[in-house]
Amino acid sequence: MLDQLLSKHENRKLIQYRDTSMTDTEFSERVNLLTGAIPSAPERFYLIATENPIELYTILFAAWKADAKVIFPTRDHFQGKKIFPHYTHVIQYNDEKIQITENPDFTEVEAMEKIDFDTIIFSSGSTGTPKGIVHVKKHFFDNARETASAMGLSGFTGITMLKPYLMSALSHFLVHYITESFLIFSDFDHIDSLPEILEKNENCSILGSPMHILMSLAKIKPNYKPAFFFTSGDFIYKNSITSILSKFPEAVFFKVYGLAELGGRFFIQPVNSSMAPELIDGIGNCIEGMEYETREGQLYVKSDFLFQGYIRNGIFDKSIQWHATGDIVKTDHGVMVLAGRSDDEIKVGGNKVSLKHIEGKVTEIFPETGIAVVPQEHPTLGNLICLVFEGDCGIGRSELIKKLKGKLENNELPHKYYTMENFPFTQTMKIDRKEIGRLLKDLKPL
Amino acid sequence: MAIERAKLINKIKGEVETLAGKTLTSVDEEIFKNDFLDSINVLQVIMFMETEFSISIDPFDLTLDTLGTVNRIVDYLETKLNNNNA
Repeated sequence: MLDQLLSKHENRKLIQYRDTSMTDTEFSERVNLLTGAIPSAPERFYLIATENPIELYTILFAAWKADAKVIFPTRDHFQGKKIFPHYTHVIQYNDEKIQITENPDFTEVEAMEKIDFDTIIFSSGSTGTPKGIVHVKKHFFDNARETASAMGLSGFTGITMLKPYLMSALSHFLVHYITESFLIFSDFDHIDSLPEILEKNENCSILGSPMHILMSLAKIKPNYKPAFFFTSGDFIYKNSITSILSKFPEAVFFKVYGLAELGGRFFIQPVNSSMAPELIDGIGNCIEGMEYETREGQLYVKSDFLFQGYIRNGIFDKSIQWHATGDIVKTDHGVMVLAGRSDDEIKVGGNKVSLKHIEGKVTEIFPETGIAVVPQEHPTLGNLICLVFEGDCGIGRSELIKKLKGKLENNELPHKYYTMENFPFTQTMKIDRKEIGRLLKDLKPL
Repeated sequence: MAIERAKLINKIKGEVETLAGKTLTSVDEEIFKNDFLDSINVLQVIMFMETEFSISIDPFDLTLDTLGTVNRIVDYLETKLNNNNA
């Protein structure tokens, strides 16, 4: 599929970042030009050291075409932290030309030479030890093709504020490429430029994390008509979706289940404003080429598109056939819905509670407010449940507790309430609950 | 500076009634009996006391003798706050 895409020569826009855009033809020409400048050898691993999506994807496609192996950067890399030394060379643009330099700190990964792979992408590196996820490029294309097919759309324009080195951003780019669509990249810290971009692009769709989408809403004029919203990765709750669709009733909301470590999307649930409310929570339809089953409530997935394995702490772990997602699912009104994480349960006063489950219920009361439910350890009393609002929840403590009591079981009622001006995020723009938990000591409870 | 007992009573009574979703008939009514508050709410009451009055409650003080009624909670709070101010 790589050659097929690169043989297209059309003068329609394919990708844009800030003031630079490229057509299909320009992208193919640039890739073909770069391909000859990237020597391929089994022992060579290239770190693509750029956050510019046009640069990253032209280098990536050129490296793939040259059958070279590449490693994506992480946010930590751009903050000057050297946390993952398993690349032999750094590759980047310098004055429109490719510059390749050796990595003096290179260290080998055990047993890596036996693995068939060409690409390593990282899961979030800011919440713990970064995990390199090992892939072959064909799987990215297969997954993107099936995702595009499940969406059933083509020739659209979308904007995302995701960093291009994230699995989700790569998937968006490939889906756009395959469906002859136009993908605009912007930066989250330039969110104020969103109205201007939308003004220039009719029916532009918004793609990204739930938090990206929620924070974009205030920037979209009420009479604007986004074709669709597309979010994946983290939970987005029914009330948030219905609230968005009540403002933009002609849009479709693609609620997508995918995990970076799986290498793409697994389930897609298109939601429109006329959909029965009880169906909105559904995880959606499994895309072609994927299989799933549940074991003791936990979702397990399997596919030929999946990753080859992980690199963690310099050691390669081969992928197993059935992958435990850590997500708990249940059947509700005849559809499969997410019901929390297998690892987010804490014991409070002898009762097990799922923090995600509580968060979901609280979001039903405050659908457009950033909310995190995190644990805090009391020095003598054990685990506490803390509810944290991003910004002001708009009501007093007493009124808040009354509202929560209407939704939560007695054992789910938080013990402490906080507000935080801005939530910290992981590099994949998920709310960084670990960091919030760490910051609680500096905040005054409500 | 010492907080007036009436203010302490109002604060504790308000929190207890909010948590219960019911109104107390008197400040001497047992709050963890007769389906007023569940024992699971003890933690909420303690956390409110600790955060609102910047005190730390000794686990050995966690008995119905200290926390069973609004009046007894306020007695306990006055003792803690006086000790802190001493």
